[in-house]
Amino acid sequence: MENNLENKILEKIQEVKPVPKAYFIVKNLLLWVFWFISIIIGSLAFSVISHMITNNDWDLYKYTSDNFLAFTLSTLPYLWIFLMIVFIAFAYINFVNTKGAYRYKVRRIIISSVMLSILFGFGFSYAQIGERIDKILSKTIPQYKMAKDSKESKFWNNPAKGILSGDIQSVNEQGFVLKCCCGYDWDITGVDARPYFDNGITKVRVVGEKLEGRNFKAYDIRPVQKYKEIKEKIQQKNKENGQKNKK
Amino acid sequence: MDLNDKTDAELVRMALRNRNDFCFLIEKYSSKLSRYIFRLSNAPKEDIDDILQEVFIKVYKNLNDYDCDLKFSSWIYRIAHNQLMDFYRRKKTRPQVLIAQDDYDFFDIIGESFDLANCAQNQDDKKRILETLDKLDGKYKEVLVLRFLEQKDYKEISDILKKPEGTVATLINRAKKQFKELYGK
Repeated sequence: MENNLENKILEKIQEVKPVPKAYFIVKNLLLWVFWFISIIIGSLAFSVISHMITNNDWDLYKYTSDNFLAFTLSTLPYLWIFLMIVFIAFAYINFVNTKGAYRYKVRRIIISSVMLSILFGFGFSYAQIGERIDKILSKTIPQYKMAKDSKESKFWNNPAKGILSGDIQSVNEQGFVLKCCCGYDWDITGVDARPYFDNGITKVRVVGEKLEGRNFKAYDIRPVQKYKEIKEKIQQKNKENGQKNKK
Repeated sequence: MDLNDKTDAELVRMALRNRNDFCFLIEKYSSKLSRYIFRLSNAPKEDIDDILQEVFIKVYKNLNDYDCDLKFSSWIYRIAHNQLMDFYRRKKTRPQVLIAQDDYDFFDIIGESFDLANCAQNQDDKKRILETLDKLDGKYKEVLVLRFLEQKDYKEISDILKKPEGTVATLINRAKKQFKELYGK
């Protein structure tokens, strides 16, 4: 009986060819490559999240929300958090299909994938890659820019609560004219918008107090986009202004 | 040729060079796998032979995937286990542990490992043990068969079932617990 089975198997394998070793090597290698790519994309998403969170104007939460939690929940970059989770899941799927991955517990694999994404993500953040991605996407993908603008107008433009968001139209002796996200022109006094306007930075958030009509007394002004070069330009301009005032 | 002189890795290399040498691996593992499949199923002999055939063809096809870091027996048991699960999926039935006449040691092992006092003293006790085993969840049943009938260690079970060793230990402990609960009822 045993020999009968053995003969049957031997007969059958005459028509079968073993799958080449290269196939298994390439398959395993591809899984590692896809795992690495997924980790890197997850890290890039983390660096964008990090850029957005660190430049979120946290101190202005009182002007937009009832409490800090509501502000946090309203301003979290959900798209990027979703992308990061998706790519960590891809990394996990690729890893568990590699040889020997079954030796590790699911929890350990997930935690290490998250940690690696965060670790690389911090590296990318340090190199300002998250900021660059946000900038490039805002320039090249109209829908991305539209989504950001829509959030800006809905969330950061609330004159009754003391915050305005919009484009600087012109600068004058008393202050400047701002076209808010809703399309109205506001006469703003109290802060100098020239350092922004002169540097081509027109999209700003203004914190202050609504006066009669479309007049607004500003206490603070901040650029909407907080890219490194914008921050540097403002710092440079403020320094120059400071020196001029001293003289 | 004396199979004892050759390691499994050497037998694999020989089979890759000459397909007829695959018979040495068949000779070495067919009865072990046949018994394993029989223990894990209530399939008739013809079905077991069919499963075994599929297992060896799959093994031959994937010989190049065999990783020498792993015991060949673990690798081939894994393929047999997967093939058996496919068989159940196709048949839409669940595994049923069968203890053969030559598995009489099993009752002593169960009695000892599960701290069951005066276990398997008579035919009724043995029948009860088998009934209890049959009531266990599938995942518990397969670890118990591998551990106590196939006498595999945790590392081998981990390689066969593709689960971390810690999970295997947990499964065995839970299997023991469930067994005791069901046996006590």
